Amino acid sequence: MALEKESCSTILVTLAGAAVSVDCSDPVLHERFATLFRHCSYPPCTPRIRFSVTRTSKKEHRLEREGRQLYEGDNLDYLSHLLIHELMICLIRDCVDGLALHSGALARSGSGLLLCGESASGKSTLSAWLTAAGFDYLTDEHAVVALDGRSMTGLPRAIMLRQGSTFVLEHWLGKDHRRSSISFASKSIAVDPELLRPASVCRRARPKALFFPRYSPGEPLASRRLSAAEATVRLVRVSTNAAKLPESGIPAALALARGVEAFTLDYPDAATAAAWIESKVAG
Amino acid sequence: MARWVSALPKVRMNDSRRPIQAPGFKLEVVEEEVILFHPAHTTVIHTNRSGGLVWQLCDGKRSVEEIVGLLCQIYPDSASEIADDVERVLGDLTDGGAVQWL
Repeated sequence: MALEKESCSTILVTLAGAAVSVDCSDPVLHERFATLFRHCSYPPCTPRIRFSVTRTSKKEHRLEREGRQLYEGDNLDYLSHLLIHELMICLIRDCVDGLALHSGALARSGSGLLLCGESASGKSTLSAWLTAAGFDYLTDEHAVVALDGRSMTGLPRAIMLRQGSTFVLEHWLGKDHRRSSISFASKSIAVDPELLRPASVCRRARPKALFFPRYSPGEPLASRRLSAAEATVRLVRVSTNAAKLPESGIPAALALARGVEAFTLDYPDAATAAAWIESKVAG
Repeated sequence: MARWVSALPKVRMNDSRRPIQAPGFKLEVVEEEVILFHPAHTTVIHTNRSGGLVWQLCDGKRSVEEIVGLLCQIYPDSASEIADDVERVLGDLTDGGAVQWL
Protein backbone atom coordinates (compact mmCIF):
# COMPACT_ATOMS: atom_id res chain seq x y z
CA MET A 1 0.00 0.00 0.00
CA ALA A 2 2.76 2.40 0.93
CA LEU A 3 4.50 1.77 -2.36
CA GLU A 4 1.27 2.28 -4.29
CA LYS A 5 0.67 5.55 -2.49
CA GLU A 6 4.24 6.74 -3.19
CA SER A 7 3.98 5.80 -6.81
CA CYS A 8 0.62 7.47 -7.17
CA SER A 9 1.88 10.75 -5.74
CA THR A 10 4.70 11.27 -8.26
CA ILE A 11 3.97 12.92 -11.58
CA LEU A 12 6.59 12.81 -14.34
CA VAL A 13 6.75 15.67 -16.86
CA THR A 14 8.98 15.25 -19.91
CA LEU A 15 9.83 17.39 -22.90
CA ALA A 16 12.25 16.47 -25.67
CA GLY A 17 14.36 14.17 -23.50
CA ALA A 18 14.35 16.38 -20.40
CA ALA A 19 12.28 15.40 -17.35
CA VAL A 20 11.20 16.70 -13.98
CA SER A 21 9.04 15.06 -11.34
CA VAL A 22 6.42 16.48 -9.04
CA ASP A 23 5.76 14.73 -5.74
CA CYS A 24 2.47 15.74 -4.24
CA SER A 25 1.01 14.18 -1.15
CA ASP A 26 -2.15 16.27 -1.12
CA PRO A 27 -4.88 14.37 -3.01
CA VAL A 28 -6.71 17.45 -4.26
CA LEU A 29 -3.59 19.11 -5.62
CA HIS A 30 -2.33 15.80 -6.95
CA GLU A 31 -5.52 15.44 -8.95
CA ARG A 32 -5.06 18.94 -10.32
CA PHE A 33 -1.45 18.37 -11.38
CA ALA A 34 -2.19 14.90 -12.71
CA THR A 35 -4.88 16.42 -14.93
CA LEU A 36 -2.65 19.29 -16.05
CA PHE A 37 0.19 16.94 -17.04
CA ARG A 38 -1.74 13.78 -17.84
CA HIS A 39 -0.21 13.44 -21.31
CA CYS A 40 3.25 14.76 -20.46
CA SER A 41 5.01 11.69 -19.07
CA TYR A 42 5.96 10.10 -22.39
CA PRO A 43 8.55 8.86 -23.08
CA PRO A 44 9.48 7.94 -19.51
CA CYS A 45 12.94 9.12 -18.50
CA THR A 46 14.83 9.88 -15.35
CA PRO A 47 13.94 13.26 -13.86
CA ARG A 48 16.84 15.59 -13.22
CA ILE A 49 14.90 17.96 -10.99
CA ARG A 50 12.35 17.05 -8.35
CA PHE A 51 9.58 19.34 -7.19
CA SER A 52 7.51 18.58 -4.13
CA VAL A 53 4.25 19.96 -2.83
CA THR A 54 3.35 19.23 0.77
CA ARG A 55 0.54 20.35 3.00
CA THR A 56 1.96 22.28 5.95
CA SER A 57 -1.28 23.16 7.74
CA LYS A 58 -4.99 22.87 7.17
CA LYS A 59 -4.93 25.55 4.44
CA GLU A 60 -1.30 26.03 3.54
CA HIS A 61 1.01 24.19 1.18
CA ARG A 62 4.70 24.41 0.45
CA LEU A 63 6.30 24.14 -2.99
CA GLU A 64 9.95 23.08 -3.11
CA ARG A 65 12.47 22.47 -5.86
CA GLU A 66 15.23 20.07 -4.87
CA GLY A 67 14.42 20.80 -1.24
CA ARG A 68 14.57 24.57 -1.66
CA GLN A 69 11.37 26.38 -0.80
CA LEU A 70 9.77 28.36 -3.62
CA TYR A 71 6.45 29.18 -1.96
CA GLU A 72 4.47 28.53 1.19
CA GLY A 73 0.94 29.79 1.61
CA ASP A 74 -2.74 29.21 0.94
CA ASN A 75 -2.98 30.52 -2.63
CA LEU A 76 -3.22 27.28 -4.56
CA ASP A 77 -3.69 29.01 -7.92
CA TYR A 78 -0.47 30.92 -7.43
CA LEU A 79 1.28 27.74 -6.34
CA SER A 80 0.01 25.93 -9.43
CA HIS A 81 1.10 28.66 -11.83
CA LEU A 82 4.47 28.95 -10.11
CA LEU A 83 4.99 25.20 -10.39
CA ILE A 84 4.13 25.26 -14.10
CA HIS A 85 6.48 28.20 -14.66
CA GLU A 86 9.36 26.70 -12.69
CA LEU A 87 9.16 23.25 -14.19
CA MET A 88 9.10 24.75 -17.68
CA ILE A 89 12.28 26.67 -16.89
CA CYS A 90 13.92 23.41 -15.78
CA LEU A 91 12.75 21.48 -18.84
CA ILE A 92 13.87 24.15 -21.28
CA ARG A 93 17.20 24.60 -19.50
CA ASP A 94 17.93 20.92 -20.11
CA CYS A 95 16.73 21.00 -23.69
CA VAL A 96 19.76 21.28 -25.98
CA ASP A 97 18.73 18.91 -28.76
CA GLY A 98 16.24 21.25 -30.33
CA LEU A 99 15.00 24.78 -30.74
CA ALA A 100 12.46 25.46 -27.99
CA LEU A 101 9.74 27.87 -29.06
CA HIS A 102 7.03 29.80 -27.30
CA SER A 103 4.51 28.21 -29.59
CA GLY A 104 1.40 26.14 -29.93
CA ALA A 105 1.84 23.06 -32.10
CA LEU A 106 -0.68 20.91 -33.93
CA ALA A 107 -0.62 18.38 -36.73
CA ARG A 108 -2.75 16.70 -39.31
CA SER A 109 -1.66 13.42 -40.89
CA GLY A 110 1.80 13.96 -39.47
CA SER A 111 2.21 17.43 -40.98
CA GLY A 112 2.82 19.95 -38.22
CA LEU A 113 1.98 23.59 -37.81
CA LEU A 114 3.37 25.99 -35.26
CA LEU A 115 1.54 28.96 -33.77
CA CYS A 116 4.36 31.17 -32.57
CA GLY A 117 3.93 34.22 -30.40
CA GLU A 118 4.07 35.91 -27.07
CA SER A 119 1.41 35.69 -24.39
CA ALA A 120 -2.07 36.82 -25.44
CA SER A 121 -1.40 36.28 -29.13
CA GLY A 122 -3.99 33.50 -29.12
CA LYS A 123 -1.83 30.36 -29.16
CA SER A 124 -3.93 28.46 -26.63
CA THR A 125 -7.27 29.63 -28.00
CA LEU A 126 -6.35 28.61 -31.53
CA SER A 127 -4.77 25.36 -30.32
CA ALA A 128 -8.01 24.43 -28.53
CA TRP A 129 -10.19 25.34 -31.48
CA LEU A 130 -8.05 23.49 -34.01
CA THR A 131 -7.85 20.42 -31.76
CA ALA A 132 -11.62 20.31 -31.49
CA ALA A 133 -11.86 20.83 -35.26
CA GLY A 134 -9.77 17.74 -36.01
CA PHE A 135 -6.10 18.60 -35.65
CA ASP A 136 -3.81 16.53 -33.43
CA TYR A 137 -2.53 18.34 -30.36
CA LEU A 138 1.14 18.62 -29.44
CA THR A 139 1.09 21.68 -27.17
CA ASP A 140 -0.52 25.04 -26.59
CA GLU A 141 2.62 26.78 -25.35
CA HIS A 142 5.97 24.96 -25.56
CA ALA A 143 7.20 23.27 -28.74
CA VAL A 144 10.65 21.92 -29.54
CA VAL A 145 11.87 21.59 -33.12
CA ALA A 146 14.86 19.38 -33.98
CA LEU A 147 17.98 21.33 -34.91
CA ASP A 148 17.64 20.21 -38.53
CA GLY A 149 14.06 21.49 -38.62
CA ARG A 150 12.65 18.13 -39.66
CA SER A 151 10.64 17.09 -36.63
CA MET A 152 8.87 18.71 -33.74
CA THR A 153 7.40 17.74 -30.43
CA GLY A 154 5.67 19.60 -27.62
CA LEU A 155 4.54 19.61 -24.04
CA PRO A 156 0.97 18.31 -24.34
CA ARG A 157 -0.23 19.79 -21.08
CA ALA A 158 -3.87 20.67 -20.49
CA ILE A 159 -4.78 23.64 -22.66
CA MET A 160 -4.78 26.81 -20.58
CA LEU A 161 -7.56 29.15 -21.63
CA ARG A 162 -7.88 32.65 -20.24
CA GLN A 163 -11.21 34.03 -19.16
CA GLY A 164 -11.92 35.56 -22.55
CA SER A 165 -11.23 32.31 -24.38
CA THR A 166 -13.55 29.90 -22.61
CA PHE A 167 -16.09 30.44 -25.40
CA VAL A 168 -14.10 27.77 -27.23
CA LEU A 169 -15.23 25.19 -24.69
CA GLU A 170 -18.81 26.40 -24.77
CA HIS A 171 -18.78 26.19 -28.55
CA TRP A 172 -17.39 22.66 -28.73
CA LEU A 173 -18.43 21.09 -25.42
CA GLY A 174 -21.55 23.01 -24.43
CA LYS A 175 -22.36 24.51 -21.06
CA ASP A 176 -21.25 21.47 -19.05
CA HIS A 177 -17.57 21.86 -19.86
CA ARG A 178 -16.68 23.09 -16.36
CA ARG A 179 -17.38 19.68 -14.88
CA SER A 180 -14.43 18.20 -16.72
CA SER A 181 -11.92 21.05 -16.59
CA ILE A 182 -9.82 22.82 -13.95
CA SER A 183 -10.97 26.30 -13.06
CA PHE A 184 -8.64 28.84 -11.50
CA ALA A 185 -9.61 31.83 -9.38
CA SER A 186 -8.43 34.06 -12.25
CA LYS A 187 -11.30 32.46 -14.21
CA SER A 188 -8.86 30.83 -16.58
CA ILE A 189 -9.53 27.18 -17.31
CA ALA A 190 -7.31 24.19 -18.05
CA VAL A 191 -8.91 21.59 -20.27
CA ASP A 192 -7.66 18.16 -21.25
CA PRO A 193 -7.22 18.21 -25.06
CA GLU A 194 -8.81 14.78 -25.26
CA LEU A 195 -12.04 16.25 -23.93
CA LEU A 196 -12.11 18.43 -27.00
CA ARG A 197 -11.47 15.44 -29.21
CA PRO A 198 -10.67 11.89 -28.09
CA ALA A 199 -7.22 10.52 -29.00
CA SER A 200 -6.11 13.96 -30.15
CA VAL A 201 -2.74 14.01 -28.38
CA CYS A 202 0.17 13.58 -30.76
CA ARG A 203 3.86 13.13 -29.86
CA ARG A 204 5.71 14.13 -32.98
CA ALA A 205 5.15 15.69 -36.38
CA ARG A 206 7.06 17.09 -39.32
CA PRO A 207 6.92 20.90 -39.47
CA LYS A 208 5.12 22.19 -42.55
CA ALA A 209 3.80 25.62 -41.66
CA LEU A 210 4.56 28.47 -39.30
CA PHE A 211 2.03 31.06 -38.20
CA PHE A 212 2.63 34.17 -36.16
CA PRO A 213 -0.88 34.97 -34.93
CA ARG A 214 -2.03 38.24 -33.44
CA TYR A 215 -5.51 38.70 -32.09
CA SER A 216 -7.01 41.86 -33.61
CA PRO A 217 -10.69 42.07 -32.64
CA GLY A 218 -12.87 44.08 -34.97
CA GLU A 219 -10.34 43.99 -37.80
CA PRO A 220 -10.62 41.87 -40.93
CA LEU A 221 -8.31 38.88 -41.18
CA ALA A 222 -4.96 39.91 -42.62
CA SER A 223 -1.99 37.77 -43.49
CA ARG A 224 1.34 38.08 -45.20
CA ARG A 225 3.68 35.38 -46.41
CA LEU A 226 7.05 35.68 -44.70
CA SER A 227 10.37 35.06 -46.37
CA ALA A 228 12.68 32.53 -44.74
CA ALA A 229 14.86 35.38 -43.50
CA GLU A 230 11.92 37.18 -41.91
CA ALA A 231 10.69 33.95 -40.34
CA THR A 232 14.15 33.26 -38.94
CA VAL A 233 14.24 36.61 -37.17
CA ARG A 234 10.79 36.01 -35.70
CA LEU A 235 11.66 32.47 -34.62
CA VAL A 236 14.71 33.64 -32.69
CA ARG A 237 12.51 36.19 -30.93
CA VAL A 238 10.09 33.51 -29.72
CA SER A 239 12.74 30.94 -28.88
CA THR A 240 13.14 30.14 -25.21
CA ASN A 241 16.50 28.40 -25.44
CA ALA A 242 18.28 29.97 -28.43
CA ALA A 243 21.06 31.32 -26.25
CA LYS A 244 22.00 27.78 -25.20
CA LEU A 245 22.24 26.36 -28.72
CA PRO A 246 25.14 26.44 -31.18
CA GLU A 247 25.46 29.93 -32.71
CA SER A 248 22.57 31.12 -30.57
CA GLY A 249 20.11 28.82 -32.31
CA ILE A 250 20.16 30.86 -35.50
CA PRO A 251 21.16 27.95 -37.79
CA ALA A 252 18.36 25.89 -36.22
CA ALA A 253 15.83 28.69 -36.76
CA LEU A 254 17.05 29.06 -40.31
CA ALA A 255 16.77 25.32 -40.98
CA LEU A 256 13.17 25.38 -39.77
CA ALA A 257 12.29 28.54 -41.70
CA ARG A 258 13.74 27.14 -44.93
CA GLY A 259 11.65 23.99 -44.69
CA VAL A 260 8.21 25.47 -44.10
CA GLU A 261 5.78 28.12 -45.29
CA ALA A 262 5.50 31.00 -42.84
CA PHE A 263 2.77 33.60 -42.42
CA THR A 264 1.75 36.46 -40.20
CA LEU A 265 -1.88 36.17 -39.17
CA ASP A 266 -3.89 39.04 -37.71
CA TYR A 267 -7.29 37.58 -36.93
CA PRO A 268 -10.58 38.83 -35.54
CA ASP A 269 -11.82 35.58 -33.98
CA ALA A 270 -10.76 31.97 -33.51
CA ALA A 271 -13.25 30.46 -35.95
CA THR A 272 -12.12 32.72 -38.80
CA ALA A 273 -8.45 32.09 -38.04
CA ALA A 274 -8.92 28.34 -37.77
CA ALA A 275 -10.74 28.17 -41.10
CA TRP A 276 -7.96 30.16 -42.75
CA ILE A 277 -5.24 27.99 -41.19
CA GLU A 278 -7.07 24.85 -42.33
CA SER A 279 -7.21 26.21 -45.88
CA LYS A 280 -3.48 26.92 -45.84
CA VAL A 281 -2.58 23.50 -44.45
CA ALA A 282 -4.93 21.74 -46.87
CA GLY A 283 -3.48 23.70 -49.79
CA MET B 1 14.79 36.10 -26.72
CA ALA B 2 16.40 38.31 -29.33
CA ARG B 3 18.57 41.14 -28.00
CA TRP B 4 18.03 44.49 -29.63
CA VAL B 5 20.46 47.35 -29.31
CA SER B 6 19.05 50.81 -28.71
CA ALA B 7 19.10 53.31 -31.56
CA LEU B 8 22.17 55.45 -32.11
CA PRO B 9 22.27 58.89 -33.73
CA LYS B 10 21.15 58.97 -37.34
CA VAL B 11 23.69 58.46 -40.09
CA ARG B 12 24.46 61.47 -42.28
CA MET B 13 26.06 61.56 -45.70
CA ASN B 14 28.66 64.10 -44.62
CA ASP B 15 29.45 62.07 -41.52
CA SER B 16 33.22 61.94 -41.20
CA ARG B 17 33.06 58.72 -39.20
CA ARG B 18 33.67 55.41 -40.92
CA PRO B 19 31.38 52.40 -40.42
CA ILE B 20 32.90 49.04 -39.56
CA GLN B 21 31.37 45.61 -39.17
CA ALA B 22 30.79 44.84 -35.51
CA PRO B 23 33.07 41.99 -34.38
CA GLY B 24 31.59 38.51 -34.53
CA PHE B 25 28.68 39.17 -36.87
CA LYS B 26 28.10 36.72 -39.70
CA LEU B 27 26.22 37.15 -42.95
CA GLU B 28 23.96 34.44 -44.32
CA VAL B 29 22.21 34.70 -47.68
CA VAL B 30 18.68 33.29 -47.45
CA GLU B 31 17.06 32.98 -50.86
CA GLU B 32 17.03 36.59 -52.14
CA GLU B 33 17.56 38.14 -48.72
CA VAL B 34 20.19 38.36 -46.02
CA ILE B 35 20.36 37.86 -42.30
CA LEU B 36 23.17 39.16 -40.16
CA PHE B 37 23.63 37.46 -36.84
CA HIS B 38 25.99 37.27 -33.93
CA PRO B 39 26.70 33.64 -33.01
CA ALA B 40 27.39 34.45 -29.38
CA HIS B 41 24.22 36.48 -28.87
CA THR B 42 20.67 36.01 -30.04
CA THR B 43 20.99 39.10 -32.20
CA VAL B 44 19.66 38.65 -35.71
CA ILE B 45 18.91 41.29 -38.34
CA HIS B 46 16.96 40.85 -41.54
CA THR B 47 17.90 42.90 -44.58
CA ASN B 48 17.99 42.57 -48.35
CA ARG B 49 20.94 41.82 -50.62
CA SER B 50 21.71 45.51 -50.98
CA GLY B 51 21.79 45.84 -47.21
CA GLY B 52 24.15 42.89 -47.04
CA LEU B 53 26.39 44.52 -49.63
CA VAL B 54 26.48 47.78 -47.66
CA TRP B 55 27.46 45.82 -44.54
CA GLN B 56 30.22 44.04 -46.46
CA LEU B 57 31.62 47.42 -47.53
CA CYS B 58 31.85 48.58 -43.92
CA ASP B 59 35.58 47.99 -43.43
CA GLY B 60 36.41 50.88 -41.14
CA LYS B 61 38.37 52.58 -43.95
CA ARG B 62 35.59 53.86 -46.23
CA SER B 63 33.42 56.80 -45.21
CA VAL B 64 29.66 56.79 -45.87
CA GLU B 65 30.26 59.06 -48.84
CA GLU B 66 32.83 56.67 -50.25
CA ILE B 67 30.49 53.71 -49.87
CA VAL B 68 27.76 55.63 -51.68
CA GLY B 69 30.19 56.60 -54.43
CA LEU B 70 31.32 53.02 -54.90
CA LEU B 71 27.75 51.72 -55.13
CA CYS B 72 26.83 54.49 -57.61
CA GLN B 73 29.64 53.28 -59.87
CA ILE B 74 28.37 49.70 -59.66
CA TYR B 75 24.67 50.62 -60.04
CA PRO B 76 24.61 53.88 -62.05
CA ASP B 77 20.91 53.45 -62.92
CA SER B 78 20.01 53.62 -59.22
CA ALA B 79 22.39 56.43 -58.28
CA SER B 80 19.61 58.82 -57.30
CA GLU B 81 18.31 56.40 -54.65
CA ILE B 82 21.55 54.98 -53.33
CA ALA B 83 22.50 57.76 -50.91
CA ASP B 84 19.18 57.59 -49.06
CA ASP B 85 19.20 53.80 -49.08
CA VAL B 86 22.73 53.59 -47.68
CA GLU B 87 21.90 56.03 -44.89
CA ARG B 88 18.77 54.08 -44.00
CA VAL B 89 20.55 50.71 -44.12
CA LEU B 90 23.44 51.93 -42.02
CA GLY B 91 20.98 53.35 -39.50
CA ASP B 92 19.19 49.99 -39.26
CA LEU B 93 22.43 48.01 -39.00
CA THR B 94 23.75 50.39 -36.36
CA ASP B 95 20.51 50.04 -34.37
CA GLY B 96 20.82 46.25 -34.64
CA GLY B 97 24.41 46.28 -33.46
CA ALA B 98 25.94 44.94 -36.68
CA VAL B 99 27.78 48.18 -37.50
CA GLN B 100 30.03 50.29 -35.33
CA TRP B 101 31.71 53.61 -36.10
CA LEU B 102 35.28 54.80 -36.11
